[in-house]
Amino acid sequence: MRIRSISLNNVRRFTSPVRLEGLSNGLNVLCKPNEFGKSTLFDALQAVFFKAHSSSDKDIKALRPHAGGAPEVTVEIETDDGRFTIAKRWMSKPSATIEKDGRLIAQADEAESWISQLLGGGDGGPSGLLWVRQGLTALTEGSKKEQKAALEARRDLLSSVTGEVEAMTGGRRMDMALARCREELLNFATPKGRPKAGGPWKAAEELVEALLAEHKNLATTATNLRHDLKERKRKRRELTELEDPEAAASRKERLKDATAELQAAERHAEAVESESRKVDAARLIVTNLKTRLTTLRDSTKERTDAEEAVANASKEATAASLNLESAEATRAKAQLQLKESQIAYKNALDALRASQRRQAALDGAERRKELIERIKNAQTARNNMESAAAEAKRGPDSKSLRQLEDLASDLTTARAIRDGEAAQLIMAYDEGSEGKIKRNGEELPGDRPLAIPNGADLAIEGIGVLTVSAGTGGQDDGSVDKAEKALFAALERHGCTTIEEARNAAEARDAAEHRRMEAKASLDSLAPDGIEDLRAKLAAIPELKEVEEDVPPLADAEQLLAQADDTRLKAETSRTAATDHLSDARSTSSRIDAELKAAQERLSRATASLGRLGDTDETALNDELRRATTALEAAEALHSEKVRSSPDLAAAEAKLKRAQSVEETARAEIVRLKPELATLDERIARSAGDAVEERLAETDQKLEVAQATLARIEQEVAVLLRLETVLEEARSDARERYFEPVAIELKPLLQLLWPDAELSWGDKTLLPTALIRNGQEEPIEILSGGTKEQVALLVRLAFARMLAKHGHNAPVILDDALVFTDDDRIELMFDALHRQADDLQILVLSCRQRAFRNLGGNSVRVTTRSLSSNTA
Amino acid sequence: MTLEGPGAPPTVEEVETGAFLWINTELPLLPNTDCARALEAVLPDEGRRDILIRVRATGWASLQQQADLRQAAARLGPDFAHFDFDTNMLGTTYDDADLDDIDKAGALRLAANRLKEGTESETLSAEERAVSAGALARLYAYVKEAAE
Repeated sequence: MRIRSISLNNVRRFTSPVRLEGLSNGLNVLCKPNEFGKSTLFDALQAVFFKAHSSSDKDIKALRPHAGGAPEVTVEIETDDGRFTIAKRWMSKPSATIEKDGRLIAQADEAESWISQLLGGGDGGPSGLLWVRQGLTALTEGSKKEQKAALEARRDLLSSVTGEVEAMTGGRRMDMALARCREELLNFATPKGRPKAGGPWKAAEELVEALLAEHKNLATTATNLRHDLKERKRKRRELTELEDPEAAASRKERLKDATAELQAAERHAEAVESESRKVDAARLIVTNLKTRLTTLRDSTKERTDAEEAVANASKEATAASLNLESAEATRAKAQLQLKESQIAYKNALDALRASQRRQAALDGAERRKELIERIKNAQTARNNMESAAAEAKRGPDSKSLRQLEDLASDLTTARAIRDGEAAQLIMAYDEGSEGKIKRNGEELPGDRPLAIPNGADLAIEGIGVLTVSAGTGGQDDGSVDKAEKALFAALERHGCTTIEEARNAAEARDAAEHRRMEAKASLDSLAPDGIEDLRAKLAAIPELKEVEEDVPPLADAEQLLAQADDTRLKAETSRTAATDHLSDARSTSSRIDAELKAAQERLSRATASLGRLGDTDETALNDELRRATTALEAAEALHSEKVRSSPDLAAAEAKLKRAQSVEETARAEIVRLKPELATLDERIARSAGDAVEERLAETDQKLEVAQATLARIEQEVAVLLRLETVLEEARSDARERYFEPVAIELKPLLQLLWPDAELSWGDKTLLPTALIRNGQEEPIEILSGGTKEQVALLVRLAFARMLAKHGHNAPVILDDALVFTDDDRIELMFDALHRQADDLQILVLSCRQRAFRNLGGNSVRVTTRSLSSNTA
Repeated sequence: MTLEGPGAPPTVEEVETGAFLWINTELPLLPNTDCARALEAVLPDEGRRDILIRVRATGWASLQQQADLRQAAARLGPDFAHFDFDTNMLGTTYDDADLDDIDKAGALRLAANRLKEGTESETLSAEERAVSAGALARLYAYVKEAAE
């Protein structure tokens, strides 16, 4: 919504129509001196939007001019739906109309609800806050004193921002409502919602409980009482019936008759019993006789049979005895034969084993011989190998020989060099004088040069000794001696004296090595696994012994064994057969013996039995039996006659028992009923005294009342709890919906004035508590008036921005908002306002004409009908 | 009761200690009735100290009326020996003006709107609706009480 024009008529000092025009989008400024009526304008705007045309309260009355009249305010606005004119008139002929393009679209209450819709009411949003003049909360102009107070309040940031915050969160009124709700709730319940001890709720609950318990008690007592009364009535009737004299006499009569009847029946029964005994005696005699007759007949026949059996058994026993003897003889013979055949079999088996050993020995003899030969040869080869190896270690090997040869050649070379350099003697003998000169006792050879490096003593026969001296020309440098010494030392190490000897020794060594190799090859071929292995193989071959020379050949031994085995098996079979036969004979014999003994016993029993019968014979017994039978028949006839005529004893007994039981039951019932009645009388008397029924009815009534009270209290508690919950939820919702967004909107605005500044907000009051600048926290109370009002303005702008974001474009009207702010700061503030004006309509009312002259914004025109025009 | 001496029959004399009148009365209300006056009209004018009375309000009343009624009951009740005021049968009518009285906007209005929804909700049980109605009336009463 954006405001396009405002017209006033009959509003305070504007007794003639006045009109504000040219309100554009963005920042609008109305700069007028004091007493122009800016605040009146402001109040009139508020009245249009928030005061029903029917209202005539003090706010509206305050709008009237001193001269009286009906205040009229008309506002032109523009929304997304087009341009509308809202007109309101109060007091006399009040009206409210909404027109669109000169066409009436709503009036009276319809118009009011249209306005309320326009302001976005209904969703609980803070629609009105932007219309509130800073600091002032009421529309009244009031007295001078009140205006002064309002001015003071206007400077107070807290009161001003508190207005907005309260609008959002319900503020103090919300706190009050919650506190009242909780206070009332605490009368009834604990903070956890349980009935409070000592409170009316708890008391009502306890009362209901107590009454319920009492009611239950009384109800039980009453039920018991009713039951007792019924019982007593019934028992009394029973007792009366039992004690009736006629009934008692009839019971006695019946008892007497039954007793007499029973006695008669008993007497007759005794007579029948006596006859019965007589019949029994007669029957016993007959039975006795019959038994004796049968026994006599049986015993006679038994004796004849037994005699025959004894004779037969004796004959059989003799035959069995003979049979047994022969079977024993057969078995003994068979046993003997078996033993012999077993011995023969064992011998044959031994012979076979000996034959097998001999055969093995014979088979191995050839191989033994060969092995012995191989062992001998191998031994020889080893001996040879060892002696050759010993020889092969003597004398120089080829390398040593080469060294010796080198030394010998060095010596020869040394000698040749020395002799070449030394003085020489050449003796040319005269004919016949050969050998007449001797050197070291030997003849000096002639005609050939002889080197004398060390000079020489020549003994000339017959003349004397000629000494030739070699002089000191160093003819001998000692190298020959050195070579000689080296050669001899080397020769000595190998045990030789000359180089030839050494050469021979080396040759002998080679030959010995050769022999060793040959001997080793021979040994390897003879005994590849060593001689010990051959010896072990030899030991494994059996040797033929002298004593086993005469055993039969293997084939014969095998045949003999087979025969022996056959014989043994046969003997075994016949022995088993004989044994079986013997045991059969034995059992037959003993069975027949037992039979014989049984027959003999039977005979003796039969004889004894006959003896016991004495000498009575059959005919006499038969006569006696016939007489006894006749007597029995007579007794039986008499007995059955008596039985037929006897009365029913059991029936008589039953009748008597019944009569007795009737009498006894009646007596017992009387005895039982009397004390029971006494008990009931006592109990009823006691209960009746307690006035149970009356008390029950009374308790019922009390319970009803108590339950109703409890229900009312519970309803009350539910109402309070619900209210508490809804209030708390609404407050926290409002906080979430408005408070956080406003804080977010505020931040960039604050930074425009004070970079890095931040407001901190009280958690519970939701009011700004401190301004944080450059990390310094300054409580709001100590801020300067200018800073306070700047903060307040910015907070307001933040609200506007937040609303705009929610889709409610509400104009912001600032009435002398910047009283304490210096000019520089005002410029900064106007930067903030311009910044807002992009998406908001802002109307600034100010008296500071000079300060506002160069700050930009659209200047608003004011026209009055009486004066043709008036420019701002 | 007087006893002359041992064995003598007691002399009994009757003394009147008090007489109470029980009254059960109904208070029918309509949305436009002046409730305080209506209540006063059904109450007896004299001998209130000796009267035990139960007033049962019926019909319909707005939040404002109910608040007035409650105030009147609190004012008049102490005159009687026993005064029981039962509004269980009294229905509540709501209009936006009532809610505006609580608050035009903001959190209190939010709470009032929610309670009103609760009283009109078809998904809630009758008891729950009654609880919401009671809570709304109470909120209205608190706000009024604070405004005075």
